[in-house]
Amino acid sequence: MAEKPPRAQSRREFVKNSAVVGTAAAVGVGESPFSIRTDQSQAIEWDRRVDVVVIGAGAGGFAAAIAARDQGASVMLVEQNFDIGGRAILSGGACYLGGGTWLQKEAGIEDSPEAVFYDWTLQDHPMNRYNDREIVRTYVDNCIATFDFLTENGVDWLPLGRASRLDSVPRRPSPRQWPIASEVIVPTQRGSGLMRPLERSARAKGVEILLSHRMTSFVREGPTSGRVLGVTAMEVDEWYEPTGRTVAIEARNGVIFATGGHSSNVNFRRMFDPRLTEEYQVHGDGWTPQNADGELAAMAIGASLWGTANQTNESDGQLSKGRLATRSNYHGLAFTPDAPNFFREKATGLRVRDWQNLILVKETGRRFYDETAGIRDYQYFYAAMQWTGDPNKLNGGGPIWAIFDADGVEREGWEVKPPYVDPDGYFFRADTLEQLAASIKSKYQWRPMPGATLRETVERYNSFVDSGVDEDFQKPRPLYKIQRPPFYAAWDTPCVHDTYAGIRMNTRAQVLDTQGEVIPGLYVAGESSGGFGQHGLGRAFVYGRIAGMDAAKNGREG
Amino acid sequence: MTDERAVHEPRLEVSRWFPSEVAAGAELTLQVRVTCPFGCDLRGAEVVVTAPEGPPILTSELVSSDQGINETSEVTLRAPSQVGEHEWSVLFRPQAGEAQASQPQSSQPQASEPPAHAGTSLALPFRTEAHRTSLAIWDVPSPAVVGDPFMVKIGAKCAEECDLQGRRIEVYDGSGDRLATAEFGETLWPGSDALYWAEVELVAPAGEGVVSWSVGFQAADLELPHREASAGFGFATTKPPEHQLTVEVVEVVKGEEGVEGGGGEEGGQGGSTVPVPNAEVSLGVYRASTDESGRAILAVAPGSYELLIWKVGYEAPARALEVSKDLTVRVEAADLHLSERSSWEDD
Repeated sequence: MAEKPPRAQSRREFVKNSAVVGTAAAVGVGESPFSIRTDQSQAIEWDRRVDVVVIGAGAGGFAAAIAARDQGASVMLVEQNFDIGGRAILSGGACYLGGGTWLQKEAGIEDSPEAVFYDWTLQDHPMNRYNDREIVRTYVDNCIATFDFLTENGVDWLPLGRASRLDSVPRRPSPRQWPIASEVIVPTQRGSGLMRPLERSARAKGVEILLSHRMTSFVREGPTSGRVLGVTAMEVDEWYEPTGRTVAIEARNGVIFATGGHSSNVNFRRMFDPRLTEEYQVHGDGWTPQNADGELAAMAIGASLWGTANQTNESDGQLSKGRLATRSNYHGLAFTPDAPNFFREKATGLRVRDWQNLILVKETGRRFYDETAGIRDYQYFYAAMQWTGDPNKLNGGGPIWAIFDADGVEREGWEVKPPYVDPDGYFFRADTLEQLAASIKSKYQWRPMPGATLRETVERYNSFVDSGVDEDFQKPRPLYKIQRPPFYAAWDTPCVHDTYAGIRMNTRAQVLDTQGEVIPGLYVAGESSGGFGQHGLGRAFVYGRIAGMDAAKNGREG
Repeated sequence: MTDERAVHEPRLEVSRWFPSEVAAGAELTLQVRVTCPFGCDLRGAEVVVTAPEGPPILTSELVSSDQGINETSEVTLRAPSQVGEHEWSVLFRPQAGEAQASQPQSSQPQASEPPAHAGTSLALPFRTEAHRTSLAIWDVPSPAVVGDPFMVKIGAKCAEECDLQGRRIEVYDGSGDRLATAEFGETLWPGSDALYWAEVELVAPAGEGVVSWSVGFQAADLELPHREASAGFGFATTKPPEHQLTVEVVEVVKGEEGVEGGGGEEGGQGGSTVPVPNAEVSLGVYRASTDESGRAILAVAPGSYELLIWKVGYEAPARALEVSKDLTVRVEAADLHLSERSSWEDD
């Protein structure tokens, strides 16, 4: 084992001079596992040395890892979850990858990079308006190559469907679902058809995958100067609690983080929108949280945020009206009880067929909007996040509860018991409305719901059913009374989804600092990167591949 | 106690939360902790709970000891059945020589005899409340025919789940006049925890419109004090139905797309039609939903109405309808193809 070098020796010298240390738990990462390292002057004893370290085994991470390995680099891919896939494996699998791919040509669809660029920089949609056009241009120029790359690495594509509403021609291909059921995670979603082939290919090519490890810092030569030399990480258990084991991995060519964004980190997301307090849960958090690890570690060594207007464009994937009665209640995602992470999810939730079958109330027991609003209606979200009138809680609108009765359950065909609902804070049942209000116990319901208010709300709503006119919120023709016991309250607080802003990068996916200078040896891809508010997988695959190739080829020079 | 013996002053507290407000007559769980600052094991000593008058409510031994923290087991007490402010006292009264206090050898080495422990007490103020009750009224027909009798179900629940069998509820009209009374039966409403219920016959008022009535529950004659409850309910009234309106909701399928699964019939626009089941039909205050053949039948009074169709994923224009005889109307609903249009299904 190498002796610790004297303090005067530079880190670079030390790293050059010292042998790789094979012991784990050699690195202290501070009192809190998530504390920001700013003191980089202390010696690190590296547990492992590779050419490229990739953080996050989702779309961006696998594209980066395989692309770097294809260039001959040794690669270690680090993932906090017990399985690979990130959010990508939970997704529907549709990737914005067009511009004239072979799949488009087979279907006789004419497309070009120019057409893609035009579509993704149009001013008339908030998804496009705020994009960094240099980032978009390089994405556009790499779509075809990225699509071919995914095909070569085993992704089996379905025939193209119709054009997405943001595209002028069909260019959003989806994979076939992975055939091994136990590896699919969410049976209705096709994301496994992307991530499992990439996992197979990466492993076959020799990418080393380190699961159940959470990155804790990027190690840079100086606090905000010099190269990024590697990462520290800690082992976590199935609840993401630290086991006490840590690891330091040296990256000779570079570190690429594709950590999935910041949506799950309440403090971080409130930089963009202070309303998004703790009651707003996040899509798929029981699979792998988007906890801003990459952003925080990068900012700690000087990285800049970028494209923040995208995060507040209040459109599309940021928020969802959601499923009922479960915590991370994204409308398009239902885990089944045999999902490997179901012990964390705890309930499938209830899908609402007809929003006429319920009313939605705030923690005060009062309605606030037409319940039939669409799942992406931002006017609805504004109302849901409106101040509740409590001087002790100024930000956030508090939990939203769906209130319905036995007739509503029958009309919807719901089974109102576990594993469909989560009675531990997200679903309640009672014989009367007053008792229902009293039964609502949630860490986010910070004061009791007044039973008399809930009863008044329902009686008033029921009178609208008789009169045919919702005098308060103009729900079109309220159809059903809430009257037949038992009564139910189910969690329906808006759910946070996409991360649309993150760390500044250049068109080589190199991370830039607040002076606009490259941080040598650090790359970013996917939802942790800023400048491109595209929903989903396309930009993650494109920039992951760019980052992996660049780190392997040019990383040591940068 | 002799002068030679050291006297320890233990601390007395409630180790399990004791509520400041409880339902009258409710069960309370109490656990008492006696902590000796010198770490003495006080197992076997007794804790007594008393009320201002009467005999002790409870005597309980300290049964566990850990480094001077001595606790009783969790014991169940019943709160007074009278509503109001109460104060119980918890007393720790070791009698001389009775508590076999054993002291850790490391502390107070000068004491040659087992130490004595001072008695101490703790006040437990709390308030008892009358039981909360609440009501539900369901299966209210709407519309009801003016002047005709109809049935509704009314249930009441005590928050403490008291037996309400035989208790009475009263129904009042908008001006507070009593319209009916009923007694709860012995069976609970299926699926409920403790909802006692009755079916009540009422008579719709003579005028057309939207009616707002209320239900009151006094619960005065129960053994324990209960708060009264009231709740409102409403319904629309109409003239007696004279005509039958049959509404057929269909979707026109364009010829080139074909009709899967059969059941189609020729439409008027060159395509064929398929029935739309489970569409909600509303005609003024009348409601029905379509069956598998896309049909809904409503018995309605003559008059001018607006006919509306509601089904998720479909759109149908509202239309004015004059009903003066039996009628069959066909409404074409357009499938909005929501699932295909929404790219979010692919997310």
